[in-house]
Amino acid sequence: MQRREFIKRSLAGLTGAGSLLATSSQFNLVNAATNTNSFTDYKALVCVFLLGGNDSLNMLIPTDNPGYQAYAATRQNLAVPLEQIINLQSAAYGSAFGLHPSLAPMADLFNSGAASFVANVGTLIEPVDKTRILNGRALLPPQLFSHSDQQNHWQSGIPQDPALTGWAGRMADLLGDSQAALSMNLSLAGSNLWQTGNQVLPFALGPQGADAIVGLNPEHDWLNQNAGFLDRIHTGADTLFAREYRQIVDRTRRTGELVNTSLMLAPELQTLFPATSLAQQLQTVAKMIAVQQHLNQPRQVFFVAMGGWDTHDNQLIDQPLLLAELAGGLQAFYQATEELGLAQQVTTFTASDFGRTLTSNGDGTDHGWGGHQIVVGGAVNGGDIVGTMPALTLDSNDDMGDGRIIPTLAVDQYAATLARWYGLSESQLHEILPNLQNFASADLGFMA
Amino acid sequence: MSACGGGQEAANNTTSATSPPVAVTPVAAPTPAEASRFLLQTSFGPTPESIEAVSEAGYSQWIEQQFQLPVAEHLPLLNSTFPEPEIYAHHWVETWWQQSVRAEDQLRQRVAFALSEIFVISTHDTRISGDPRGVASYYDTLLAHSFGNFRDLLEAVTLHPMMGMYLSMLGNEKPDADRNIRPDENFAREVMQLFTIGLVELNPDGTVKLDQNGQPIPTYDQTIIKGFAHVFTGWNFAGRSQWWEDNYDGVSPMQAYAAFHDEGEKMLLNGEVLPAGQDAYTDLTAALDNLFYHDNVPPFIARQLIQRLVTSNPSPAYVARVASRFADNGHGVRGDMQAVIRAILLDDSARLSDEQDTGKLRNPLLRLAHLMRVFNSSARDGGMGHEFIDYNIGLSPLGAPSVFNFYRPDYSLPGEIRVAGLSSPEFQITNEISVTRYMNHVYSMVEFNSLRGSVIVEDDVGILDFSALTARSDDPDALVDYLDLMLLAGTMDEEMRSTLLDVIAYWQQRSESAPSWVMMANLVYLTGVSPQFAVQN
Repeated sequence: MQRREFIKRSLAGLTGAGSLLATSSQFNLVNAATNTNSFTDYKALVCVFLLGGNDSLNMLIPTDNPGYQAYAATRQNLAVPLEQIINLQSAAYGSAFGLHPSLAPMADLFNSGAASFVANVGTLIEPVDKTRILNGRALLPPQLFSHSDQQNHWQSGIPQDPALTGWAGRMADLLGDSQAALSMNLSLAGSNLWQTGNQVLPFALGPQGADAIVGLNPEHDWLNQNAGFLDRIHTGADTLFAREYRQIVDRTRRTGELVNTSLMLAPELQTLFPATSLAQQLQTVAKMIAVQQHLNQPRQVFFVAMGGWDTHDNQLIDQPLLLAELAGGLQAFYQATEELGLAQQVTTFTASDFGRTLTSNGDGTDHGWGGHQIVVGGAVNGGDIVGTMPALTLDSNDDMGDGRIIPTLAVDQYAATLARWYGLSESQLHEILPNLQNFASADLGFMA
Repeated sequence: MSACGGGQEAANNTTSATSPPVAVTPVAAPTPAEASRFLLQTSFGPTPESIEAVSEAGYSQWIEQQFQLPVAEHLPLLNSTFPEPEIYAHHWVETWWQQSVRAEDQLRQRVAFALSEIFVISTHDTRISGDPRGVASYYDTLLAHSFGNFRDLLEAVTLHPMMGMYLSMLGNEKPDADRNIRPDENFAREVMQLFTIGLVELNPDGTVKLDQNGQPIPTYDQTIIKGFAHVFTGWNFAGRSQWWEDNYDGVSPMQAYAAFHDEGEKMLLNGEVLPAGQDAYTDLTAALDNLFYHDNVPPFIARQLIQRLVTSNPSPAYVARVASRFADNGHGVRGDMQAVIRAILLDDSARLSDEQDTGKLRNPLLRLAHLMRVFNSSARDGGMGHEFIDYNIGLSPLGAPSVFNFYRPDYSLPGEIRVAGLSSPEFQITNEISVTRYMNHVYSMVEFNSLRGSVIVEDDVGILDFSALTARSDDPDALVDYLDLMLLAGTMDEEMRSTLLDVIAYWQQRSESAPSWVMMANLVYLTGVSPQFAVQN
């Protein structure tokens, strides 16, 4: 710890990087950021991806008598004790389902109408049922239960093709974002498929925003020629890989400055964010939202990721910590959007590789299929559970085997509901989600 | 060909009939530039000494010499450097730098690093980061088998308690129907998907095999996963008299506990069924053999090792040549790592410069290690510094976000690379924030040079030694030649050369007002952050 601070201090002292002030030329850069699409309002979509596969069957739990008995009998040593479950009152299910005790902040959001749950969403190509699966007549996504393939399906929406672009990337392509100085797709978790389009690429932010490139600082006497020297070196880099690397560096130099300069204009938020990785990412998202006008971004899409959900073992210890971090982050972020007066314009949703097996492997669960998701925001029809909760008895019609739950809603339907709110037309929805036509409804109704 | 004279054609036919379709080793001694390029593939970066060694021995002999060197293990160094009982993951990173940058057995260290990106455990898991000695022991396991046999490597990795914890085979029990408990599928799934055969059937050249409908053929289904999950039951920490005791041993191979091993039949790959009633170790060795002899293993492993050492886009023919050496080293032995390494490094595809080849983007850890080697980086306390590298650049050895490593072998950067249908794994972690953090780390390295001997630098901060550059400061061409040979394997383009000469001229003009270290720091910085340095061709 001491070392890190020392390094930071000495860098700042020697180069002035820590006191980088916005110069007039940098403000001009902000103004030069142009966007070709013509939105008159502002909206942001925030994806919180739970890497590894969240055991959401322990997130939303039956509390009525036959329901809880079935859950406890199947889950055995992994079941949450009935008395610990937080009661919820939903329009669709009354008091039949409650929340894991570590999700108390989620209960507050739910009860205040700022959050809902979407039940049993999963990767599908077409609607399926157990009979057709057992008969071998169902068209199933390839490589079910594989992390990489199922993450790709959630993010691409086109499992039948190689995973090259994601639905948020194609959405940005459609909205003409490739002409903008700064991509509308902003990632707090590095490169990702979801935000990659045919033209649009995500811009990767660090947990604190964009860092300045110290060694090219134009205001430092010993470094002020370096940018020009590097430009010249770049012209010589002419192999394919070197050219691509050069382009990433050049894009960073152009847009990093724009982001840094804009973030310096962000208001000091009163909302306290927990000191967790997720909350820190969401705090930077909140700042980027706060300066969207300076960035000239009437539409923003954020990708935030949280690891550790692959609870093959130690689940009773690990998952409560993960759920607490998730709920704490979501609550603080929602409060920040309220503070900014933008709660109606920001929608946050979860996604995850897959749900997990109802059965235990002793002290954890294995890769499943369908799972529940969370949506938060002022524009969410809050306080409800949307969709059909699955039966939790083994070998039920919802069970593909060992308690791997067959999804009743498709990722495509979930995505379309969010993308429609974001501003896509009916035809554009089908353009970015080609399998959407296979499902009964393109709008699950959880957005106002 | 028809234009060729008859005699020449006949001679060609004779040659092709008698010589095997494998590598043609150049006879002439490698030039310094060729040696430097070879060392980009076979070490953590060339140095004046290693360039001379390769030039003298030739490629093949140098490899054989490296095979004979004693293993520079990480755990003993970690224990002697940090004897205190309570140590953290960054202590392991410190000794990883020391061995990777300084050890004599560079080829083994480099191959083990490649293996650490296939057989992934990660300090992102607190149980792993909580036992740095266990992590070092796991890395030593990779080192120990880098020049051995792949089958032994697979078994040693499978039974290492750090892998046992990371993919939860440790503590995995036989089914308990009354409690709806069935075996954990984590290791069973990933040992197939990531460590041996992959998701779909491959041709011997690594291309995907297609069925009659043009679709890939899955290598396994849930039944096979369950079979392997049942195999890997009954293992726990060594040294317990009973399963439930709580003594911990993060170094010794896991031990079998008969009462917790499932003794039923198990369905494996290719229709093999393990009979009921076998003990845990018999089941395990049979299952690992079942994987080891699967036709996918040679191309699956060969392609990834080539990607880690030589190029992101090996031709199918290159993969096939290496895979065939994996399948049979020429003496009927499968999985001989030395034969595989020779086949990768002595192949024409590795040795001859080919403008059609993409080469590879180098992992930032390799780039930083290269700078440290060339400029003898050292802290006053004798260490390397840079142990908080994960904090600085978001990357550390055995520190991937998940078992899927930092990047996937088939990641293809959108744009020209993707349009051309090429793979570019390391580009998956190359974005605005990662290039900034890498550039700033290089900057901090060159900047600390200015503080050599100064009291404001703590004893454990690594400092580069620019004396080889200073010795050439009166001869700008020699200075740039040195940077070219040491950092770019003699491939520096004219634009870069003239720019660096202008950098020198600029700082010579300012020699009255600027300290002498500034010129060297900026030369190394500009070279170290250049695309030319980032990409290995």
